[in-house]
Formats: sequence, C-alpha cells, structure tokens
Amino acid sequence: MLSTLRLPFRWTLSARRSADTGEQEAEDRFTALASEHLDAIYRTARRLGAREGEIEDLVQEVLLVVARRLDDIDRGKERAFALATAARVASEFRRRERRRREQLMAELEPEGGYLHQHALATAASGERQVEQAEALELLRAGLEAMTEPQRVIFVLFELEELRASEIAAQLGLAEAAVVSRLQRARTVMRRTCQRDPRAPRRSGGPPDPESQP
Amino acid sequence: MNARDPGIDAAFEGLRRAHRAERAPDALRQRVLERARQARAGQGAPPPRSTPRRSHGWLAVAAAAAVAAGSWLLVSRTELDGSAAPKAERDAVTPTAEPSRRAAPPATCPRPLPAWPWHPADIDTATKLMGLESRIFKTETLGCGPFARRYLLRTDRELTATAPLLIVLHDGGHSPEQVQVETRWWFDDLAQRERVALVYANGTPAVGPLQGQWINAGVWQTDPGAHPAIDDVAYLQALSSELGDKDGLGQGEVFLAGNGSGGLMALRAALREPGRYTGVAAFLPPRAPLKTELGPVLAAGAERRLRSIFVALTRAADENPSQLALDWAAALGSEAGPVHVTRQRPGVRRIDTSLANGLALRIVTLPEEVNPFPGPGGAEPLARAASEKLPHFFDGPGAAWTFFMRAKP
Repeated sequence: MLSTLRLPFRWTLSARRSADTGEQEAEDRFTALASEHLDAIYRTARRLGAREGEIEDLVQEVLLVVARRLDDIDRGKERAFALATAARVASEFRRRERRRREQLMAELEPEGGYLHQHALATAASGERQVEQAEALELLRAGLEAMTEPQRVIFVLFELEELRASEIAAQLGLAEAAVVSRLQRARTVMRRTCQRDPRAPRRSGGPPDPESQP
Repeated sequence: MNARDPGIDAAFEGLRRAHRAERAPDALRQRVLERARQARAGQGAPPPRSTPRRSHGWLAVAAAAAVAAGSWLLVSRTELDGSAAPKAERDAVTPTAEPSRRAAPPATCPRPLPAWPWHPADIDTATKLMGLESRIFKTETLGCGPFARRYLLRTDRELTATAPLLIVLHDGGHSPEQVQVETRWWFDDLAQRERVALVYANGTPAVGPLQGQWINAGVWQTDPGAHPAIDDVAYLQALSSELGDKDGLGQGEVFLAGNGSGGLMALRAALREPGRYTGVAAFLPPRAPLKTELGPVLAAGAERRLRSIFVALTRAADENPSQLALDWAAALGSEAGPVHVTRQRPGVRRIDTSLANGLALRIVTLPEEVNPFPGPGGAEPLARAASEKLPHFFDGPGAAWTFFMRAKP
C-alpha cells in the first residue's frame, strides 16, 4: 500500500504545500468568478423568466454548478460558462414551473413587486430611471414573445454580448443554429418594439429593414 | 469574432443599457456567495433552500431523519433483502467514464453521497398496488464507493428472453411511480399489448437546492442537482445486465424513453452506448445533448445497434419545422438528410430526416401551450386535452413505438 511507505519528510511537506496552494488558488478563483459575474447571472436569470420566489435558488444553483465544475472551466471562459449555466438552470426552472402552472398562478410577481421595485431602484436616477424601467418592460414583452431557445440566444448574445462561437460551444449547438435563432429573435424583438408607441425612444435604432413592406 | 458572427445589433442599445444597469440586491448577493463558499468548502449539508417547499414540511423532516441515519438505512435494507451484491459482482460494474471526467477523474469523493432511501418503507409500498416490483441493486460511483439504485419492473412472467425491453426514465425531481400515474398507465398498457418487458428507472436524490418533493424522487446526472460521482449511464448499463442475470430479460432489443430531463438522460445514454440500445425517445427534453455528451454513435466503424432517435418537442407557431430538424441534426453532430414535414393534425407536425450512417431522426412537435405530461391534477381541461394527445407521442400512427418497430435496417 502506498500509504504505508515512509516517504522523506521534505517530499511529503512539499506535496502538502503544493496541494494547499492549488486548493487556495481554486478557492480564490471561485470567489473572484462568483463576485464578478453574480450580477450578470442574476440579470440573465431575470430576463429568462425567473420569478421573485425562485431567483435566489436559481442563482445559488448556478454557483453550485460553477463550484462543482470549476476545474473544467477554461481560463477566460468563466463568464460564458456561468451565463450558459444560468440559461440552462433557468430553462429547467421554467419547465418545472409550466408543470406546476396552477400553483404558480398565485405566485406570479405582482406589479410593483420586490424585483420590480429593485429594478427601478438600481436603474439610474432621475429621468433615466423612468426611461430604463420602460426599456426593461419593453424588453420583457419582447422576450416573452420569443420561443425559449430564441430568448436564450438573444439574452446571451445581444444583452450579455457573448460571441456566437462562445454560445455555440457552451450550449452544445452548431454556430449556424445560434445565428439562425438570433436572427429570428431579433425579428421578434423588432416587431415588439414597433408595436409599442414609445419604442423608438427606447430602442433608438434604425428601422428594421425586414419589416418594411 | 469570426466571419459567421452577426455582430451586436446597435438597434437594441437602449435595451442593452437598461438590462446591464440591473444589479443583484446586496442581501441576495451576500447570502448566495456565503452559501456557495460553504458548499465549495464541503462544510456539512448542502446549502438550505431559500424558499421552503409548501405543503411538504413532513418530507423535510423525513429527509433530515434519513440524513441522520446516513448510509446505515441503505446497508441494513439491502442486507435484509439479500440484494447486496458480493464484492466481485460490484466490481464487475464499471462506471462509464465521460470525456470530461476522464481528463480529471475525482481522486477522492467530492462530497458525501445523498442519503437514500427517504425511508425503508417507501421503497416498495406504493408499487404493490400498481403491478410493479420494486428492486434495488448496487452500482459503483466515480470515487465514492458503491451506491444502491432502485428500479421498478413490470412483472409479466410469460415474457421470453428476446422480448423487447423498454426502460422509462422519469423527469428530474419526479419518481417512477409518478410517470405511471401521469401517463395514465400508458406504458403499462403498451407493454401488455406489445409483449414488452417494462422497467421504470429511478434517479438519485438531488444534493443541491433542487431536491425532489416526492417519495423516491430523483434526478439524473444531466440535472443541476445531481451528485457529481453518480454515473447514470453506468446505472442503465448495469440495469440491463441485472435484468439479464435475474430474469433472463433484455436479450433482444432495448429501448430507452424519458420525459424532460429523463429524456435528455436517455439521449445521453443512447449516444454514449449506441451498441447497447436500439432506439431512444425523448419527450420534451430541456435541451439537445452537449458535444461532450455525444458518443461514438456517428463514428465510422463504431459498433452501433442504435437505429432511431425520436424527439417530442413543443414548437412556437413561427418556428420553422425544417430548421428545427437541421438544428437537432447539427446538435447531434451530423448533417441532416432530406427533411420531410407532415402535418398530422392542427398544431402537430412530424418531421423526419436521417443522420450520418443512416440513423433515423424523427421529431414530433406540439403547440407550446400543450404539455403531454400534465401531472396528477388530471381533471383540468388542459390535462384532458393533453392526455388525448399522448398517442401521438408513443403509441399511434407515426409515433415513437411504431417508428422504432418500422425503422429496421
């Protein structure tokens, strides 16, 4: 048995030190990753339909997955991994929610609920506060009009600005599929913006060429 | 950014700004980070769920009792049953190494295995009324020693060794008994009529906040709350062998079917071991398999028994069925052959294509608002409508079973 061998003291000490250092490095990396990307995970989960009663569980679950898979995450791809995990976990939560639709009808976030108030509070102050709250409302409407796969791609690409290749790698999709879903999601969002009378002020972009007669 | 990357759309700048201005509340941030640090440090039990499960306080008490009893319950139960396998037999069950795990095998057990079962009496109480036999056998984990697994077998003594074997996987957080109820004994009827050996597989208890609410509820390794050392591909593999040894079943064709994350797990197992399974059906899987979950199914020269993949999905009205098939083929690592779309009835589409090596892929889509597995509250109109649509998934013209039987080489 290896454990019964008497190794020189220096060897065992250096092995212990190296293991401790590795563990400390991993701990530091996880802490940095979690602190830096927690806001992005939180808002991604919100955009993907997480409700007031489940947002904390959802964010928690994402961090647990990140903690568990830390050794598998390539350096520099932490953000993409965390956000893709958030998308997957949010999808899982939504699927369960659909099944418990009756129960959850009573839990639907009321207008002016905690998260709504929090969104307003964290938006910029003054006039921009109203503008940003309206933009969030428009965003919510647009995202709701999309299918779930389109919504995930739109949030990760357009809002969190991950690259298509990163999304494809993290979600196990072909890059062409990501681009295709993104195009459809953009069309849906543009239609939503055009239906809303205040949309030009919010989106501030050029008119959609696809929707021109 | 590469050539195919479409670039960020400036038209959505206002929306993007509003989105990125949002921050997590400080209290939430502190709680979540603290729990994550504790979990990472491996201090005691998994972090508590922030929102208590309603109407299931008794279950939390039972779970706490099970945790306190630890593995003693497990060992004593299996020894009482005489189902504890000898060591040599246990060692014969080799976990299937996943590519990512092969790169970094866990040297030690990352965290304690979940306490299971909730209570010894729960192992088979419910099944006696349902015509099923509850069984337990041991499998090996990735670094945490042996772990007892459970499954339900529909006992029909007249079946021969070459009868097809159908293994049904429940959704994450559900139990095998629930599948039987939610599908209105659909698989049981099918097994009786078609002379099929039927097994309901059982996942393992979640170790994170996604613990199941039901007795014998479990998750699969594709679920977020799964224990990292539990290998469900190996469990399904061992399950087939166990049935062969004990009952002489499973010598013929073996099919996998699963709902939700059970569907994803079924796909994963079939793609990892295409030489073992003949067909796989995934009902409403949460996503397509990841690249790391793909096995040698499409590799030239690989031993392959798998000939058909059936996927049932919900589809938005504006989603192109052909594109859906192309997306799935790409996710499975293959170019799609010619795509045929058939309108079965309003809102229901059947999409057929073929993958590399002639593997048949069929996707059946339903409108988004229809859930074919409506849950125990079957009295509601939506559930009634959904149960009427169940034949489209597994037991009707063009559905999974017919598809499996016809897709012979």
